[in-house]
Amino acid sequence: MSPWLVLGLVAGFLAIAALGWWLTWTARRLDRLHHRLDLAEAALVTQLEHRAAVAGELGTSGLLDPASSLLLLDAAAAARPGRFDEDVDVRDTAEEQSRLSQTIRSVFVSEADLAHLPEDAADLVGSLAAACRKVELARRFHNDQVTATRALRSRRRVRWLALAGRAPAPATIDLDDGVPPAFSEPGPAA
Amino acid sequence: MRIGIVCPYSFDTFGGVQIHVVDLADALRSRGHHVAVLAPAEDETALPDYVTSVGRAVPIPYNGSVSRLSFGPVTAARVRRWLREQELDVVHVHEPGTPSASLLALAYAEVPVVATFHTAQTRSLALAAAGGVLRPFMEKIAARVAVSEYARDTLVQHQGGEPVIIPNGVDVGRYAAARARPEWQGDPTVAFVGRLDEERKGFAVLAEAWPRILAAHPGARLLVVGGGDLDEARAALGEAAGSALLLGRVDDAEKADALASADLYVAPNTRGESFGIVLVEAMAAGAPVLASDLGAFRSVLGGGEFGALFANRDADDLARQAIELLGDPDRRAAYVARAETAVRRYDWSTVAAQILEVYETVVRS
Repeated sequence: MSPWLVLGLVAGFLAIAALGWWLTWTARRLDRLHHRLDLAEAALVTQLEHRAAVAGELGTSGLLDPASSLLLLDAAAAARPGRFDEDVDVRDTAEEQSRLSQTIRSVFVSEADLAHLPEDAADLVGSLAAACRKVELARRFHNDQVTATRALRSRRRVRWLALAGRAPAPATIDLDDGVPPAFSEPGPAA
Repeated sequence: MRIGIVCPYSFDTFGGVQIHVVDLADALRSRGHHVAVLAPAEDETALPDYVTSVGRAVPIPYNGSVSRLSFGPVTAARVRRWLREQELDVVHVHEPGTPSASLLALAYAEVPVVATFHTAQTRSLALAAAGGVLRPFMEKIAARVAVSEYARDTLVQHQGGEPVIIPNGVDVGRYAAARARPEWQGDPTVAFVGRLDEERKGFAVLAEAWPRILAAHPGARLLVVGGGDLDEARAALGEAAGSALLLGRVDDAEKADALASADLYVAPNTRGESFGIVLVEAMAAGAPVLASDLGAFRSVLGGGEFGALFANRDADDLARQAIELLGDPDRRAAYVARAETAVRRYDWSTVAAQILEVYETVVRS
């Protein structure tokens, strides 16, 4: 064999090995992105569950006026993800979650509403405010992961070689998570 | 919670990011959390016991200015060891786009990573060019935080998504407790804070406007806080130099007192400000603010609700507005009253609670 042929074969082998490594690395990157996406979605479900639980507790506490209590209790009960089957996608509960956000906003319209509450309501209302903010954070962080995952999935090498495997294309979670202005920042006591 | 905070800039000098990291660590520690900080530092630099040095930093030009950064195999090994030893629940990296300890921690962390972006890199050619190189690391970030709307806009432009805005923190109580020092005051007193030899801090603009302000208010005193060549600063003021008191570099308590002594605080910064923490400090100390209309300043001043704005680099506009404000105590008092409420959202008690909520959202319960 001529030395040029040997050199050519070695170079070809190295190029294939490098390509293989690069593709494996991309596939692992994708795998980790999908894993983090699952974690982000689980975090959002946890926060939604928690918000509904706190809203329900506040509704039954007797600390609010009866009308507000009833509205809050009703919306919270409908939004409990636990009410749905375990394999229900959180996206399918978006309507109930959005309605809870709207109800919370209509019960706690302004700082003035907070001032009228009895003193011992402060803890629960503070927990509800934190829960509302965390739902908003968790949804944003989830949708940010979706953006990053989609960016990598749209790469030619990923599409052509189906590196994403059977993992479904990630979708953002769209629901109304607007926090009442009076809840927008944690108080110094939080 | 076990929290690790990583700062890319050396603790040998004290810039905005370093101060933010130390204040955040203190605020979190006072709430009972375990906090470990990792940053570049020289061996002889005295560090709080919760700070680990990642090694010495090398001055290197990056992204348009010279920064003191740490990188290389030894630094990488130290970052990995710190991550392993600390057994953290969450790692909070600052400025992960900077090639230093933050980027390394982001690359090696196996727990959720929160990232805070401080600078609004309007001409961030380096970041854009390195986008493909940085992307595998950036996509590891579980939660992105920008310190201002201005910083967020740049981030969205480069990376998309929806970063959360959490402002820089200030110990509002400490500034509110500052006291005016009569020996520093004139009738009236105008304060400036910032390094004199940094063009972007804008002392030259104020120096150009000062003789006109002095002509309208002959008893006025210009109180200048900040290091640099004081003789050169006097020369820039020319004949009006006699009315200026140059304090040079001072400690935080003296800076607070200087702000509390002012009838008007002027921030003539010309560029490169992504937040404007000193405006918040002035507002907390009860000084009425007149600032150049940079995006970040406009945002801190609520578009002109909590302080006045003048056209950037325009000494005529600065002089005109300063003269007007100094002659209108009611308007100044109105700014101060509105600012007093507005600064509460920057107090560490609020800011640390917001950051903790971000941690709690990304940490697996």
